[in-house]
Amino acid sequence: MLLNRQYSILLLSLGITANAEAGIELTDNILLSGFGSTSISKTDNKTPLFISREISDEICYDCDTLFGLQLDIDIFEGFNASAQVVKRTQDDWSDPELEWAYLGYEFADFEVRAGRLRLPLFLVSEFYYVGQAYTWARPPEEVYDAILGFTSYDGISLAWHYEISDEISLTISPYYGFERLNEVELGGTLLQFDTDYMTGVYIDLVGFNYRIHTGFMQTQYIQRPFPATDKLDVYTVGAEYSLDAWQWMAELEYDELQINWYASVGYALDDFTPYLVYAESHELRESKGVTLGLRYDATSTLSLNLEMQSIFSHEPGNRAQFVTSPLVYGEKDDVDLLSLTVNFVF
Amino acid sequence: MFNGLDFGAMFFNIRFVVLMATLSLSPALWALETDADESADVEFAIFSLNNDLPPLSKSKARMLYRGKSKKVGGSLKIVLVDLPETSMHREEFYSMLLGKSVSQMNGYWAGLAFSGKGSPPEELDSDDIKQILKWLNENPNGIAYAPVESVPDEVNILITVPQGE
Repeated sequence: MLLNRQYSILLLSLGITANAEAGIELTDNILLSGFGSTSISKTDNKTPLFISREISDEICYDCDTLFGLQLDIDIFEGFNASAQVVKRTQDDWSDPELEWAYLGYEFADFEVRAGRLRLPLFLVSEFYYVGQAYTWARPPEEVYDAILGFTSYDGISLAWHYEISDEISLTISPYYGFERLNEVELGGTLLQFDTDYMTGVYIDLVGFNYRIHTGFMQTQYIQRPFPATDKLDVYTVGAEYSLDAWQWMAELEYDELQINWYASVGYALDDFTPYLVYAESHELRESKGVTLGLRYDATSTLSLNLEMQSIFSHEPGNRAQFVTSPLVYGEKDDVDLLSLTVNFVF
Repeated sequence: MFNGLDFGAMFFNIRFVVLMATLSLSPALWALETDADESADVEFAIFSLNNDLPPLSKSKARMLYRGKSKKVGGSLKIVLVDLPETSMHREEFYSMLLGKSVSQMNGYWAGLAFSGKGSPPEELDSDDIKQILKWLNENPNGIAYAPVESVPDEVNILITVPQGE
């Protein structure tokens, strides 16, 4: 309710001034910016594909539709605040999600944040919903959907930024998220996790054309309606490297239930970037997939993706990247997906 | 569509390995091409009106213009300014310093703007040197770039691109 009103106010305020490049400066210290994506997608399989997107063999115009607004405020020397409200792919327009809202304080090489924060597990976690910021139509599901698409925690983080030399900088950031309820719908079933805590650390090594990201997270939770407390340790490692027109990325996720990885390469030819992704999921989900895509940067704030993705299950009846076993739909285990996506920022 | 899963997967594995191998061989050739291009182009100065700012190494300049570093000399927090997107100089500058096209840079800036890690440089309305100097005058820790011949003598040149090292 409160969120809805907040969102309407934000939407109304869009009319104030328009500067296509860098968001809308409401005052010298307040910046409003936004992003969105939508697609036309279709598979050759009746089983809904991908958590929270659920693409099937009927042409879908709103499976990938998302829209977000971000407000960044410089309060005074060292203090800043930021809020991001997103209508995620699974949300109705009338019920968007407060994806983050925090107060930050910077002093010397340290930064403390408190509030709702993004889980820093993966390379593109921080701009997970901003399609304009990465080459693909969607971050590779094998890795990014491993923990059911949960993206935030409510708690505090500390980051220490250290410049080792002119070439390399290091960031170490521990975080702690307090008790909360995490919910996600999976194949028509609402999964509810009473999470006692989500805690972890990430370490980034950054050079001008590369980044190595390692993350660890531990969470303790009870999945309703079961009484037992579970604990999960999640390990992630990822690297990106770019050389002139080339961009390589690879990431790996490992926990007690599964191991997933992908490797991606893209080559920028002026405004066109063809790219190729290969990904595997093992144990919990069993699949191999390949994605061939073309991104077109139409303007500095608008891009298109044309993507063909094939996912091959290697265990009959396994959920693979679907939301449920294809047996439920009396379908085959493999799937081909075609998508045309539009991304924009303002 | 694909008969025999293992065969299908193997086919893709092999194709992928071959493609990756081909891809990794080509950057060397590509690098030679760009180097040849660069020598014919303009030389840029990265400069400030603040004499307290120390000279920059090429690595440092690259970190700053990828938004991966915000400080110079250990603790001095700096601000960058960009030329308008329509400016030829902007395209040449990023291509020379970072080997990146304008659309590649736009993707990075979008990531930065929405990461909570910082914001892309402020953009000027024109690439006129008077505008650049005016902005630098208003931003004591500001850093700008411009073709070296348009830059007045009294500014603090931190590095020149592509020459500087």
